[in-house]
Amino acid sequence: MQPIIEKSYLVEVNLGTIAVQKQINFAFVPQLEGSTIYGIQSFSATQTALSPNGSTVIANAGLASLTVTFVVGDTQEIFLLPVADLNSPSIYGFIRMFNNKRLNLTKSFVTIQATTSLNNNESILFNFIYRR
Amino acid sequence: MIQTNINPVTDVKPPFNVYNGVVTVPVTVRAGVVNNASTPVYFTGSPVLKNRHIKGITIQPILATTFNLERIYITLFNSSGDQLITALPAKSIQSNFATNGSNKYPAFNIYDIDIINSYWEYINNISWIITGTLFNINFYY
Repeated sequence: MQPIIEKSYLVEVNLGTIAVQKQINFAFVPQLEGSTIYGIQSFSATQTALSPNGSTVIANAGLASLTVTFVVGDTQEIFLLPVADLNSPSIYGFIRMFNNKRLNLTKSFVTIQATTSLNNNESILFNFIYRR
Repeated sequence: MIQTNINPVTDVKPPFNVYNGVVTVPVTVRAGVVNNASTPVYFTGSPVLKNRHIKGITIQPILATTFNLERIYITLFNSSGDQLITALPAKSIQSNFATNGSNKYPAFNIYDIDIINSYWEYINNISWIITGTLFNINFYY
């Protein structure tokens, strides 16, 4: 069973200067504020060589160096999820489904667990599938 | 209340793997046209898409190479001006996006695409010149 996309929004997280255990918060996205999110994907350079802002996207191997934590209200409901688990080509083409979460995006963050296959100022892309 | 794994978005709708038809919108660049890097390029119109319930969207590269598709993003609006799909990576709707040949296309549930106000972007740090049909974008309804 797969999510049926009604709306989607691509969000970029730039890693800046990479360092182990560095946390990078998501920026505020007005379109996703108060939205119900039911699917999330991640993308590497294998699918998206450059981000919409022109930044280099992390190599596919770099997915293994990142985790993501998504917050609902003040609760870290998705805690240290490997970003590779959201990458559809890495999971047989599936899109990970979530149970209608209203994310507190600015409190959610990406954590660099290792610097392997990552470079400074590269970005990781997340596609949020949502309804208003 | 017992928490279940039922997703109300997908579990109460009819299966979306049966289509009534498909509309193909070609993306063609004329000879000698120089496009500035990262400039939105609007699709040409297709009246068949108006008021249609779109269940699937795929991209079919013609002249576009893998290099090109990794830099193309699709943004779709409806007739009310709502930005439905924002910066969707083109490769995510290409037929071989999934590994292992599973060919899973994302399913969509969107209505009344205003195609002439929707656009694609080619992200690069230099201007590019390509002549001919770059790709087709197929809308299944």
